[in-house]
Amino acid sequence: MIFFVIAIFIGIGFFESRSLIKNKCWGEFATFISLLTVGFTLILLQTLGIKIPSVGEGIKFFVENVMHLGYK
Amino acid sequence: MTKLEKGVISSWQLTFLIGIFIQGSIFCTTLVFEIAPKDVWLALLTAFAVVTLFVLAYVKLMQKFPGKNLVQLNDIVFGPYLGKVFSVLYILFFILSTTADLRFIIDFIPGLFMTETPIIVFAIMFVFACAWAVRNGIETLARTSLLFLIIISIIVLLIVILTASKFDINNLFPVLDIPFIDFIQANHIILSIFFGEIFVFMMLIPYMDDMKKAKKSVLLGLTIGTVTMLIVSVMATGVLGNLDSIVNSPLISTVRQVEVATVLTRMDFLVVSILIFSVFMKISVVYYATTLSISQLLNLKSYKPLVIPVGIIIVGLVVPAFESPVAQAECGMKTWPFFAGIFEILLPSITLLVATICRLPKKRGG
Repeated sequence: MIFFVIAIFIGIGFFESRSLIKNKCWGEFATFISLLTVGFTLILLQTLGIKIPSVGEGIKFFVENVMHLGYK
Repeated sequence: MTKLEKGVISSWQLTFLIGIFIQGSIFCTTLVFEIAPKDVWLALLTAFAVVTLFVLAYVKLMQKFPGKNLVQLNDIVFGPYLGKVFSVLYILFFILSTTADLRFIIDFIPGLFMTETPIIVFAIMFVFACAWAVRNGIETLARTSLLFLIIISIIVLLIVILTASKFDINNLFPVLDIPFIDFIQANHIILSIFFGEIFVFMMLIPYMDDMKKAKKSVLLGLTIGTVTMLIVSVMATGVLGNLDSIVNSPLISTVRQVEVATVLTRMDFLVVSILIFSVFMKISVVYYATTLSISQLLNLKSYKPLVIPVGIIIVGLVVPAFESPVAQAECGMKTWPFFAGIFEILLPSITLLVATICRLPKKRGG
């Protein structure tokens, strides 16, 4: 499964970055690679079964403990 | 500076986009039915009145800076550094908002059909379709919105006709027979989840062909969306009566009451069609705004290379975002309205206030 995920991401990276490099769009290329790396990390961690912190829990913590708000 | 989006939308297209965007929250009515089962329609009307004031403020802000989107506006009002901080916060909110909307729909479908399929499969398929639409640009999204709006309106009309015989006006009474704080909470949910996200259009309004018609278009779109929601919520309350607070989805349960000569039954697919069309448009609009904002923030020439990576991030976040549909519903009812309020109400209000106090935009040579 891990190899399948890696192969998919290499495919996406190769497909999209080819035209960016050809047109010398370095800014777009750097942003594309950075965002793709973030996405790849998120998907890979889940494939490996590593628990990612829940966004919902984060929002709950922020609203209840930082803003001191929230409905009962 | 070259424009990131070459496409232009007409005032009517903006109206349709906003109309269907509001309809995209139709699946969230469940949250309000749990709190104020008989007063959803009233909460919708009061929230509509409140959001109209904010929408007028958003449009005023956009007209003060014609041709500038939210990210450019932040740079002008708060300066290049603080403005960028604000823009990053908006982008994070856009991603979270898309993730939450996507999670709602991908939890909903396997709840009815294909129960054994992992939700990530639905997420990938849905985001892939949205990414395709987003890559084709604002004009394609706008043209699609008209088609989907017509389909949804026909389906809503069909639901009204088919369930009319089961409708009992007495089910709508008594009005406001709930604690006042519950009514406030219902209003808050509608304001933040149904209507508040309309501020995303601050990324799209600059691509209108005639900025002078922005106010009319936005208000008309808001009205179209609200009227649809109002019809659906009144029908659900009128048909289900006291059941609507305990059923999983009032909309589905309403349509399940349809029975025409024992032939036309189990019309669930009507509601699922509404949900898929409207949520597709809602997610696509926010997804488009996200990629456009990132490109604007980093001064890129095109937003298109960012569409796929942003989609992958959304897919990566959607499963761990909430433990379960119940956890998401709880977040939507108790904490999300406050969190969303920061971006939908507080930050745009501060921007308008600062722009007014500093008399921005400054006239050249003045």
